[in-house]
Amino acid sequence: MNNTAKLFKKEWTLLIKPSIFIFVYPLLAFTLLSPDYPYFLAFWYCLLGIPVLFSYFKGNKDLEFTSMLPIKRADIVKSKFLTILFIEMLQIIVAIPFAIISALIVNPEGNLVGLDANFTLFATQLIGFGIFNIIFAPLFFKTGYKVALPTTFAYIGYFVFSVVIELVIGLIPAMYNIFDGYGNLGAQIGLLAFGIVFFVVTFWLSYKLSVKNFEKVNL
Amino acid sequence: MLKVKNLCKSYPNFCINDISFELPKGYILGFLGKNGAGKTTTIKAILNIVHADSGSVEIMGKDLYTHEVEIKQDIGFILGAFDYYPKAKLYEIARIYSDFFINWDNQLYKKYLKHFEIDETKRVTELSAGMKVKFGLALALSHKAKLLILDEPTSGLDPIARDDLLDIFQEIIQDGETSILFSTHITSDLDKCADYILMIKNGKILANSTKDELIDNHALISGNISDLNEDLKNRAVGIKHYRYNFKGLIKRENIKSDDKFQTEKPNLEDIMIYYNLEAENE
Repeated sequence: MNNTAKLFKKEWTLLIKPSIFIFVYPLLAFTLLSPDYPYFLAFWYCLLGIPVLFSYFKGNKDLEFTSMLPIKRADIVKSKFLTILFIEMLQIIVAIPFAIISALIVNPEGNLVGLDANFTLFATQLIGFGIFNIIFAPLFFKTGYKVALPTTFAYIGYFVFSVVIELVIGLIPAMYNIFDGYGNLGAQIGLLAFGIVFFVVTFWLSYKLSVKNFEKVNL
Repeated sequence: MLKVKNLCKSYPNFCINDISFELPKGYILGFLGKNGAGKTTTIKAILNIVHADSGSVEIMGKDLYTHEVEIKQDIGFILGAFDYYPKAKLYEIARIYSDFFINWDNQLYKKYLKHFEIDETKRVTELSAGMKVKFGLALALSHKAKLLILDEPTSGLDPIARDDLLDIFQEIIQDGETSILFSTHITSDLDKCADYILMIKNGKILANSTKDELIDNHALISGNISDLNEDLKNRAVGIKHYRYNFKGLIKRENIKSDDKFQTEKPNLEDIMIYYNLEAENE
């Protein structure tokens, strides 16, 4: 087992174990089954869990303990990023069956108050997660203990993007015709591919920035 | 074993300045200073937990900053009592901690647990202050470290446990391969077991020598207040005035043949107190 894997194991043994919310929050994606609802909200619950978890790190002096181990600082950051990735991917994966049921059974005519449960929705939320990550993580690793401020800025980034993209697609007919509804699969899957690339690139960039910031921290 | 050269780290209101010393293989170095003197900052800078502004640290012939991961396999350290993961059980923490060390010796760990009377099924928060120190020590001692760096390992321990710990330190260095650096403000611990003394005040080194040299080079003086003149005050490390007499500490090299005072052999506590007295007179 390499150091990153051992650290990931440490997270789950010493920290995340009691955090049922990590598993309960993603299940709130069931709100995709509501007839009319701003569906992007079904995704953001995992973003509630991440700052709570980082407060756990702080409360348990996790970074201080970890600095006693024979590992590189970058490995500490890497293990936290694995945790973030796990939580966000869990949210996406749990949302998939709800989205399918929503599209086929509950709400095939479409959602009146925002995007339908379609590929566009997943694409925009991957971009939203990317925005959250690149603001939250590098800011957190600047100090290793301040959670509230990075969370606030990251939420602002995430919500501004999510609301604006809903408005753009909802109010501009050219966009609406392509990206809302369950047709135009080509364009929507293209957007999803872009969302995935955006998420991956920002994730990698967030990691690099976080390592750079954390190297300078005096624990 | 451990070579520290010109280590500096400044904070807005405090700095450690130009700390240099060496600790040879097989010895114990006591790192002495009052609360806030810079002991923990120095130790953290040596371990690269706090990043030094300048200076170098060499451990077992290797530069710490370029071989950090490799070197940390061979050193054990604790920074005060173990107060991480308050609600986790001790055996869970030990299992995770031991994963990271190639030379982890589980039998040795069990031996220390037994010796310290630690119940592994407890949670960290259920341990007394002394037990938290002992648990941290059990972890730090069980991966066959060649260098132990312990920040205040004896604080919070009762006299019996302290004495016991000092015996363990002596046992550990018996092999001639292992060295220990430990910081404390309890001078009697060092009287008992230190070979070298590094004393700091306001982030600067005051004394760096073997314990015997340090004691032999100083004298505790006392005399009639009428014999206390400016010249003597200047030569002394520190003087305490009383109504009819004075007491003080002086370097033996500064004693003149016509001085009228009695001299005594000081202990580390005297040396520490008078050196810190000087700080207040400055």
